[in-house]
Amino acid sequence: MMHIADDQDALLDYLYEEGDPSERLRIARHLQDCAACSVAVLELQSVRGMLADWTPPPVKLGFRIVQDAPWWKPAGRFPLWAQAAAAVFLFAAGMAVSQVDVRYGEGALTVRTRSAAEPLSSASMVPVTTRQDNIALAPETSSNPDFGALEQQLRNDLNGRSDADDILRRVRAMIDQSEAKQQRQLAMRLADVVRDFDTQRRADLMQVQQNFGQLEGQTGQELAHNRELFNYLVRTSGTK
Amino acid sequence: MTWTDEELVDRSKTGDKESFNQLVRRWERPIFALAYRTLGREEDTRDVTQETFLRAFRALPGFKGDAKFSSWLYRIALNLCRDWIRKERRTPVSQVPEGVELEQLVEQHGPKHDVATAEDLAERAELSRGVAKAMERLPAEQRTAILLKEYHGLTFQEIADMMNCPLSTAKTRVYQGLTLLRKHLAEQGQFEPPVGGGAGKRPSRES
Repeated sequence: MMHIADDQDALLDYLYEEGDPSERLRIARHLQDCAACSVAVLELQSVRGMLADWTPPPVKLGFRIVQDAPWWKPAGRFPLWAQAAAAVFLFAAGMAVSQVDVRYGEGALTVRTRSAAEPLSSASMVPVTTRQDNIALAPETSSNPDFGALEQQLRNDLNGRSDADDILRRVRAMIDQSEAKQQRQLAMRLADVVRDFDTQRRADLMQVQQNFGQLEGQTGQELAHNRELFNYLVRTSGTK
Repeated sequence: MTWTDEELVDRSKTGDKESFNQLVRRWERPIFALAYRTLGREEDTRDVTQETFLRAFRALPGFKGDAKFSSWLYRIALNLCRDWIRKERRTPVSQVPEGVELEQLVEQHGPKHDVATAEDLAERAELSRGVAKAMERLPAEQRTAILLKEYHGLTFQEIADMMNCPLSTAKTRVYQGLTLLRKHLAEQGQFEPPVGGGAGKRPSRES
């Protein structure tokens, strides 16, 4: 048998216990009979034994990942286009629901919401004024200056005239006049509210359109990049 | 329950950070040891070890399981070590463990050294320094092959795959590395030929 010291593969397989077991057994038998090969093996085993004394420092490590990987997305997470579509849908639904119908009548301000499917469905009612028959009972508490002026005029008229029917007629006329004035003021206020709301809605719509434009731009860039990458792969695969 | 590396990798790919952290706990010491024996500086080794796991975590979707997870980690760590050496334009510094007390060495080496005397410990520390110095003098490919074989138990085929070389080349690097290491240790006066003589004397054919 040739010396295993000259057979590098066999020597390493024997040293590290790799390769064919029957071949290692054959080498072991050879080493019993060949002093030169035994020395060669012992030398390498001695070197390996010395390597065991080289140890790293005993340090405390404890590395830990604390953030999600950038590549990871939850299974239920919607893609960007779906999120954008959902946002538009919610916005549209909100607009439909928030079509507020405000009416003034019977001494109370009535606020109704009106959806596209069911107009004038009542959402909430908020009384904001007292009824007519309370006006005379609690004039002092009224904050409306018109009622104060009306009271003063009534007192003056009652002092100077005795015809009750005439007085009553004039009182009714003045009440109607005052009520009409209040309705005009409320209508103006509501018009302001509606105008402000419409302005805000237009601004929101413009913002949404701008965001969509940005999304489309990003998607276009990604498509262009992917197209370039695909073309490059086609070119490179064609050259090999 | 103890999960295999493959199972933990699969779970990590679903976003389970804790599974990946189990892999970190399992492999951080071997990776640290490999990087330390390659770079020789503890602080740099810590950075490389941390970066190894960060890169592995980021690249996990690309790990198809063709090789063992540990081999994949070793490859990342070795690449980082190589880049670090190039970037820093330094030669690796092999050191005896920094700040290691002799008593700690005894604990690491287990019961067989429990009765070691102070002289034994001092001798062992000197030997460790000598081995580190001799390893430092090896060509990088031979040093890496020996590290992977001796300290991490990779097969020759795994070393060949990791170093992108034929199987025979991997074996040659280990063999030549061990032979050169014996020569360096002998030059440093730290290698005693085995009893039976003939150290360094190559047997001739048919003798």
